[in-house]
Amino acid sequence: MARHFSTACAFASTALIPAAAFAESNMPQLRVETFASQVFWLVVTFSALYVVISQIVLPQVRTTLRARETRIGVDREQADELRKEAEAAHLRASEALAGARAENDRLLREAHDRAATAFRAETQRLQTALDNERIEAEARIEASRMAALRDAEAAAVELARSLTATLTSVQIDDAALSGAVAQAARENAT
Amino acid sequence: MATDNSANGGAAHGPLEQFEIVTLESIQIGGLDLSFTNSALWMLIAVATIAVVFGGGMRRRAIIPGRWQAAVELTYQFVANMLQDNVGPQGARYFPFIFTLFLFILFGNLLGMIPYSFTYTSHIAVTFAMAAVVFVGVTVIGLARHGVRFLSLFVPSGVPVVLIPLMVPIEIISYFVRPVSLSLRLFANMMAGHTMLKVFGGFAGLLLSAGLGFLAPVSVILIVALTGFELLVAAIQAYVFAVLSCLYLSDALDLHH
Repeated sequence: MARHFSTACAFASTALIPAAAFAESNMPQLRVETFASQVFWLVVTFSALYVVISQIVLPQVRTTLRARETRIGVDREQADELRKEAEAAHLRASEALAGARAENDRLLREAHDRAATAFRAETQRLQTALDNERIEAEARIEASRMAALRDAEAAAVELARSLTATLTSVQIDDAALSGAVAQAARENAT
Repeated sequence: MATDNSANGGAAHGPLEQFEIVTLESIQIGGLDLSFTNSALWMLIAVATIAVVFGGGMRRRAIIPGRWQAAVELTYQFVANMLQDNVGPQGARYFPFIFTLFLFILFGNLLGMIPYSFTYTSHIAVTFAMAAVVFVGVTVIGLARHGVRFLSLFVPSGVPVVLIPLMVPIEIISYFVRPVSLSLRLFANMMAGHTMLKVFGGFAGLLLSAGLGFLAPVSVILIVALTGFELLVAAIQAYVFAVLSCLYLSDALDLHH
């Protein structure tokens, strides 16, 4: 593309040179006697420039570019390392967090379990104690009732005896009397 | 201008005066005129300028470059990429030469834009000498690398056998025309541009002396525009010369045609 463009440029600008300029054959460019000097100084200055460029400038530019590339490479490696470290640290932190959370849950559950067990045990103990007390009390009540009944029977037998003695003068033996009272008490109870 | 010419005898103030080679220090060696001329002076100035710009830019060799150093590095990378794209990795050996060539032409063209300076690239002797070095160098590299097979460059691949007697002479001519086209392109561009500037500059003066001074600004505006255009041409022509040298080198190294 550059080739076509420059050729076009060359043609375009050549066309703009006044024809007279070429017609006058005293164009300074065509003076052959100046060629030797021009080429000689071209060789001298171009060679000097070549030496300056190839021996001084280019090595300096190359070392600078290489140093920069190395530096960028090192920096990038360092950044990679740091990033990996950060990721590892993050991983460790989240693991620690998860561990702590699990530990927390465990402790909570244990405390809860312990409390529940203690509650059940205490309830059980109280229940048993109450049951025992209740059974004892019932036994006591039963004993009192039996005693009361016995007393009542004895009183009834005595009453019956004194009544019969007062009213009838018939002597009834004690065994028949208590049997009749017990039977009457049973009939009353039903 | 015609009156100027006749009055001063020759092209004293003509558009071609700026191309006149003036001897500053006469040097004659073995019958050869190797005088130090204004052309040689501007070559020296160009080399000194390049040395100062490129040596100074790299004086600190900082990891993070300043503007000056960045400019030097960008130029380096510009030419390095040009060589890489056109020749490939095996062109790296010739990088110092291509880089020197590019800078020598670029600074010759750009310094020539300074009023009253001299543009050594506007002389066919200089451009042809450079083109000849490229041509001979490339041919020698090609022959040294491929021997007789280098001549296969003149036989384009994929051409019917019938056409080969026609194609080979064409290829040979186009090969040997390379240094001519390479040197003429640069020389003609530089000469045409500078002549054009001078013509428009002279035209402004002519308008003034003819009492049409109110039209002179038009000419001056054109000069400003042309100066911008010429700065572009100065860079493009240096690039074109370097790129074509790379392409010729690539042909010689690879023979894929």
